[in-house]
Amino acid sequence: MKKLVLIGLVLILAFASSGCLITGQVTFIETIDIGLTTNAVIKSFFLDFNSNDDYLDNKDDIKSVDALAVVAVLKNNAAQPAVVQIWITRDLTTFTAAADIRANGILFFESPTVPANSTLKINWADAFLFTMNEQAVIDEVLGDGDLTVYGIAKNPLFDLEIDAEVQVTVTVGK
Amino acid sequence: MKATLLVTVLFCLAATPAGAIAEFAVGPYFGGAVPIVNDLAESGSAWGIQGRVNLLSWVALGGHFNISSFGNPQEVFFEGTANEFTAEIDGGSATTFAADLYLGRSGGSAGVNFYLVGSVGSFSWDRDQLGEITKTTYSVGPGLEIVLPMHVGLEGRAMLEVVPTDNDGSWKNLLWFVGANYHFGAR
Repeated sequence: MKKLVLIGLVLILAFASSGCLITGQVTFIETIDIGLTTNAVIKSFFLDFNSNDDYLDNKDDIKSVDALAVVAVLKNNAAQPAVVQIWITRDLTTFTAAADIRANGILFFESPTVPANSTLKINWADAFLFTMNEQAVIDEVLGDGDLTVYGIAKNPLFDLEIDAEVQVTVTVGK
Repeated sequence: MKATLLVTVLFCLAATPAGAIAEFAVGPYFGGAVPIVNDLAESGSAWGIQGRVNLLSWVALGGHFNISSFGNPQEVFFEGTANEFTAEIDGGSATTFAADLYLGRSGGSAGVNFYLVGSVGSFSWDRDQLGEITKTTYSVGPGLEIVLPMHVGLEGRAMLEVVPTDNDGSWKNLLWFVGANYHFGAR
């Protein structure tokens, strides 16, 4: 009996010594507060993961990013349907024209069509369908943790209110 | 770990004369799966079927097939704002095929038998949003079986399951279950 307990402890210690036992999967959520954005006045948002306590607490111990998705509430104030797009640049930028954003940015999220004068909610389960090019954001999570976010529409004329959050699950451990 | 178990298994097989296998047991089990520090899964159920062959009085080899159905993790989004809502994603289910090495009294002797079991196998975790990922799984834990005179054993077991992932991380689950076995060839 004592030998079996000893063997069990040795096996658990073997797991622990490999380093993988003292890790866990932790989720944090960061706001993307774009707000009102129109084709005339395109709104940008400086997303700084370093302002998130959950991220800061684990930043030095992140081993990998396991899941990443954009959850959003999208309001289309215009009289025509809109496909909402969230673009990012990995540095601090101040583009004001959709053409410049598309030329220099990375498309991170594209919604289904939001009908005219309607609001569309993208929940967590659906968010994975509309989030794209995650690697750029993953690199930022593993890097300095900041990027610039732009909210525009696929169509040239738009009047939107974008309330979004990015959910990130990371493996952390010593 | 994997190599150690493999060497142990091969040693036991080599040291066992042909025809010496006297007992084997098979049976179903049902219990729970509890993720450890994993925000992408919640506690759920586990069930499966297992079998083992006693090679020596204190060594048995076996295998098991297990399905762990995890609960769906939830998150609150836009907390404290007019848009606040709670949403969830699929916790998914994990299918495991594994080889088991038992040390201790795991045979069909009537009475209370205590043993330690270690497993190595394949772990496939399938989730609606995150797809299916297959990794090697390792588990270890103690078991207790009360074998009745009619060769039926009532068993309880707890296992720490560790599934190493990329980048030196791992998924970990606590598995527990109760089951019933029939011991063929038990004296």
